[in-house]
Amino acid sequence: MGSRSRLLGVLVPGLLAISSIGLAACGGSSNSSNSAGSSGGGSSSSSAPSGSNVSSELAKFPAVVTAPAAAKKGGTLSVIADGDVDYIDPGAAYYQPTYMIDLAVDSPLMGWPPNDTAAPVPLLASAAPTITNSGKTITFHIKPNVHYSPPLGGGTGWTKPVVSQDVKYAIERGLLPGVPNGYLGLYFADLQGLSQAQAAVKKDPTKAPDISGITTPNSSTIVFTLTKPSSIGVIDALSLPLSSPVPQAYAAKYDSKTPSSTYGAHQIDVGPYYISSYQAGKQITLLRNPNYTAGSDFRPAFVDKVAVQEGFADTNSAISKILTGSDMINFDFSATGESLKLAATKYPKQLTLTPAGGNRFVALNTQKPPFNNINVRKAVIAASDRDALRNTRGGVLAGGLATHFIPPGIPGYQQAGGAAGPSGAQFDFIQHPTGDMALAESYMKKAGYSSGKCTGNCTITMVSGNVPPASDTAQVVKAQLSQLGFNVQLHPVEQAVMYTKFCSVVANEPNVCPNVGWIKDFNDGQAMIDIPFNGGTITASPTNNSNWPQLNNPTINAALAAAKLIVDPTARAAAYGKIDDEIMAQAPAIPWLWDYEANVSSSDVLPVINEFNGLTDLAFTSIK
Amino acid sequence: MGRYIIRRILWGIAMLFIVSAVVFLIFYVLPSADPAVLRAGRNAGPQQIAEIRHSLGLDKPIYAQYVTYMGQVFLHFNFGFSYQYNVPVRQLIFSRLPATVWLVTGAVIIWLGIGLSVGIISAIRRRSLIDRASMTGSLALISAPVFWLGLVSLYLFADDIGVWKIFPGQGSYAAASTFPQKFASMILPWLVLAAATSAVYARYMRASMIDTMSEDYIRTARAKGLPERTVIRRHAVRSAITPIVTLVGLDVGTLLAGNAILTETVFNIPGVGRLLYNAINVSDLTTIQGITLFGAFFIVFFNLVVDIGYAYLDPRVRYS
Amino acid sequence: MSVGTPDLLLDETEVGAVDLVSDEIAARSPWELFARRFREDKFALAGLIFLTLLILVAIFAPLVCKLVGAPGPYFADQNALDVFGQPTGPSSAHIFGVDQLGRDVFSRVVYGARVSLLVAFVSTFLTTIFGVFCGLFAGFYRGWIDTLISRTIDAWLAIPYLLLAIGLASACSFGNGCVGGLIKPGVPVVIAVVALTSWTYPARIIRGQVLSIREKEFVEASRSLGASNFRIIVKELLPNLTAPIIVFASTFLPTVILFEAALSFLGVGVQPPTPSWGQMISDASPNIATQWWYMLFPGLALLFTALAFNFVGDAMTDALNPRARKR
Repeated sequence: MGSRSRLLGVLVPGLLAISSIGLAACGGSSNSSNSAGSSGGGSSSSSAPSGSNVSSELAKFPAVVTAPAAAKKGGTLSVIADGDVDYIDPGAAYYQPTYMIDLAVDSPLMGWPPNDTAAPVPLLASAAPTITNSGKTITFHIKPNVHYSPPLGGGTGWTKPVVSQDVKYAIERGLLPGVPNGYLGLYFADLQGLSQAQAAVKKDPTKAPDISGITTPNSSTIVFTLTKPSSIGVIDALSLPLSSPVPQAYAAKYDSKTPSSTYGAHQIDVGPYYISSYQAGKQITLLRNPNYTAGSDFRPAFVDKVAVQEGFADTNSAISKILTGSDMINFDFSATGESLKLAATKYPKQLTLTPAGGNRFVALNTQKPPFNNINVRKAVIAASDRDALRNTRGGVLAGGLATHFIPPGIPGYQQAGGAAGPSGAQFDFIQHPTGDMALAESYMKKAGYSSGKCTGNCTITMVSGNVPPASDTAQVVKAQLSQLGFNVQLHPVEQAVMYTKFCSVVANEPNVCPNVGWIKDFNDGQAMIDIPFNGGTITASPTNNSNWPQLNNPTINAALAAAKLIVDPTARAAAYGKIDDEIMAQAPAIPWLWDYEANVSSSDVLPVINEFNGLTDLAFTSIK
Repeated sequence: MGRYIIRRILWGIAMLFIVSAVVFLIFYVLPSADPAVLRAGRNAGPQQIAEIRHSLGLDKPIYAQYVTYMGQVFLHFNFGFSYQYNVPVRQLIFSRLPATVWLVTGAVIIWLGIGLSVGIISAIRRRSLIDRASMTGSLALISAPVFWLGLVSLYLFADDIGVWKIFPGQGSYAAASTFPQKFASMILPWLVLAAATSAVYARYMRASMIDTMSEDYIRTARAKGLPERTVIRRHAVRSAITPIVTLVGLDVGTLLAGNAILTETVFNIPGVGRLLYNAINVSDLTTIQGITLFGAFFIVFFNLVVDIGYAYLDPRVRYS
Repeated sequence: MSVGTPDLLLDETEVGAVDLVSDEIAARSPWELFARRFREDKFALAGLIFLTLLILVAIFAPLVCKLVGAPGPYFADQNALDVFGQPTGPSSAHIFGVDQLGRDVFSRVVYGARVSLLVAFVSTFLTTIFGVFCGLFAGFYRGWIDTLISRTIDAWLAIPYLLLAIGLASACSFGNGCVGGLIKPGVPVVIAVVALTSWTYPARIIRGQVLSIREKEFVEASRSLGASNFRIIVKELLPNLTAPIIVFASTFLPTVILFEAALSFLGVGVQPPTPSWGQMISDASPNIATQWWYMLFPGLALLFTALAFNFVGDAMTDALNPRARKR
């Protein structure tokens, strides 16, 4: 689960504080179905989800998700980047673009082939794990003869092969304050012995504690013992870089350093590539891992070298450079409208669009007047021209117009109404994409403003980002609110500040936060709508709150708690779809976009997009 | 002379303290991001933030923080740690200084070269076409906003987006690795930054020359039969240039202190000005203080050099 | 402020030149000097005419927009954006094109004049008044007042003005602003910033002037007649300060135009959606290669306005500076 800001590498909700929320079991098999939103699980070569306003643009720029038959080995791929990875240490990485690199250099127990969005498949594990003890014990066997790469930063490295103890240590080191892992406390909350380990590391922050719930009966077996049957969630989480093996004897000396572990600058990798050089803010170089056995997992690794070049602050010129050059792909910037236009009109074959599995919405603070009145909220949503909002991000290629909160590709999307959204008279306020002033005014009248517009004390506050497109979106929202008679005080600040000082701080939150949204961690309804709309989020971390509308509806809270425990995939999707509509009925925010992830590449590159994170998969991409 | 120098130096140091205190105060009351939260990073609970506040000394009273800070600066040359970039401030500033020095040095050479020569020629050939044209032209350059000039120059001459693709464009300094590449990437920024300033200097030089040339000793020199060239070069220009020296000192000082931000923004040059602007946006207090101190130091230093030079040349000044 | 007009930093030569005005040409009023000057100098005349027109356009902005058929500066015309959300250029519906949100650029340029002119005149007025007061007191009373004010000016000049400007602007741009609502976000903040960063210039100039005038015989004469300090200041000093004050104000105006544009360009000046030329240029900067119109027209507006002010200011300076005229 990630707030929109995760894409921008800034802040993530206080996951340690909400350790009580764990993913419940989703069924015994690893092929939980998802609704017709995506072709997930199958081996289709391109993805084009169904759904009216969604598919037409996607069909024009389809993403390739399997390696083409004629892919050639060799060459250097240049990755053009604006910023840097959040952490070069795989134990701490929690930034979407960082995963592009980590998926190529690390081997967690489970992994994601590019065309798979349903559930991960074994990567370091030799086979799917066995689950026993009513879903509370998970046993993995790891592949033999996996070796570590030469170390980043030079030196002797580690010559012994990977053993299960290395996986255990890799996870335990995530508890060190010097390895600030962002999801251990959330996804592994039900590990036996976790809280004791957390207490132990507080006492001695230089030594990774032992988590008693992770045991290694022999050097090729690792067993996870849970206190609750949330094995599906744990298996999902073991696909994140945290479980990529790290030998304790090698890393302990780096992990003992405070305030930050220096392992990242001396790391040893087990994937088909390894990080051979890293200069923060400048470049990252990946070379073929000489100690990797080709064919040992599903990653073909075509190119010989990957050179990430950072510092390209101007998105338009960076994208133009990629489109007109050779051997290049993009890293972390989201395409501006202008560059989308350039790519779509002049280089259509070099642009791919994938549903990003995220949404954007304008949060209305339901705890403060005037938006504590549901009719005022409905009026605002009815008046909003969502097409104009989408124009600030690039028009039709930016994504589909949102009508509820679960985006295409996530189970529950169709159940919540699909592209058209929830139907019925009580949802009339969300059924006009370009806004309906008459309807809005009627809701205002219902709220008590007899003229149809706000009268009296109509000053409301809004805090937004201060660079485009966030600032442009805020401008459009402000203009739309003004039409209803509101006097909007807009305060644009730096993106990070918007969250840390205003929108995510319950006491300081303004009336409107226009630049928020949510992006999936996994393809599951819970990952999309639980945290941002659950009343429990507010009390769990009032200074790092991701329930921006501050919605605290007991019915919805109860429904969310119940849906977490549903095992059957169909029933689960139906439940979350229903909750999505119930949330929409409360009108807590204006949903306006279901993003597409846009990726561009040079003409001689054959990019393969990994559907799990919407980024180019370095281990599958090749050069003509 | 010695006493004058000592007085000026002491006053310079006092100014550094005053300026840093004022800045400390301004940003202490700014309602922007909490530096402790920035430092704490992603998963901080309120306890952690409080701990970090304490470890960073942010819960001490403001004058205590100020004293600690100034002590570190003057005794250990340690400007603290940037909450935003996670590197020592000194390292951060020094990593950005080269870009600004590149920008300012080249621009100074150009604007002095062009400005002074245009000013001298216009003064010599007063009321001629050259004079009127250059004075009107320089007025036009002064009237154009420097950021707009930058954008227009990119539009016309940048090698990636320009109408005539001649010079490296926006962001080329950051991408440059060799000296010739860096030099080429700076040509447009130099021209843009120097444009308005050379106009200013041309006008000043012209006014200064006109005043000097009406002095009696020039008439005497001419009467002595010296060739006009020598009169101008050895007597007029020498004397007319002295007030310009004051200007250069002030201008270079303020540019190094971060006033080149407009040019740095338009051309995406990672210099001190841009760093200051970003730091202000996220309330990265230590970086702001560090840059301000550096900047104040440059301004004070250059002012000092200029004042002392002036006093050396003109004894009357020493006794004011 | 260094990239601005030269005449802000009036140095000894120019101050000395203006000094001559007070005792040599006391008979001719400034207005006569101006009239003569403007008759001769065509550029200055053109500048004056341009400024008059600009002021009229700013005052009658809604009318001007209606005449041209422009929809006003706040209306976001979605039809003027293409399917990629990108703005279209000059067309019959929008003669200067639209900006990134579909707002008509011509209207925004016209309304932007209001902001520029308002900020320019009000901040010049405030800066001059405040600076003159300080300079007057420092120069007249000397002693510790002078030391205090002079040292403050010195220290003030060492603070990077940008820091002050951005810091003040971002501190006061939210909610009720600063100083208990006195400095509200938007135009008032910009005016306050300009005044606070620039008062030292007129203060210095006036102080220098007062220092030289107070030693003149007519002041001594007045004092020996028993005139109070107040009377001396008002009757003897102030009239002789009109010239440098006018010179300062007329050369300061164009720098304020550019300063406000720079602040808005950096995002700390006038806040959107209120149109400001500098901010329009900032909006346009990521896409100038393909969307030149909303960078060009506001820039030209800035250029011509500052140029007009500069021509007029130059003419004023020359009119009051006979030494330069004679040669």
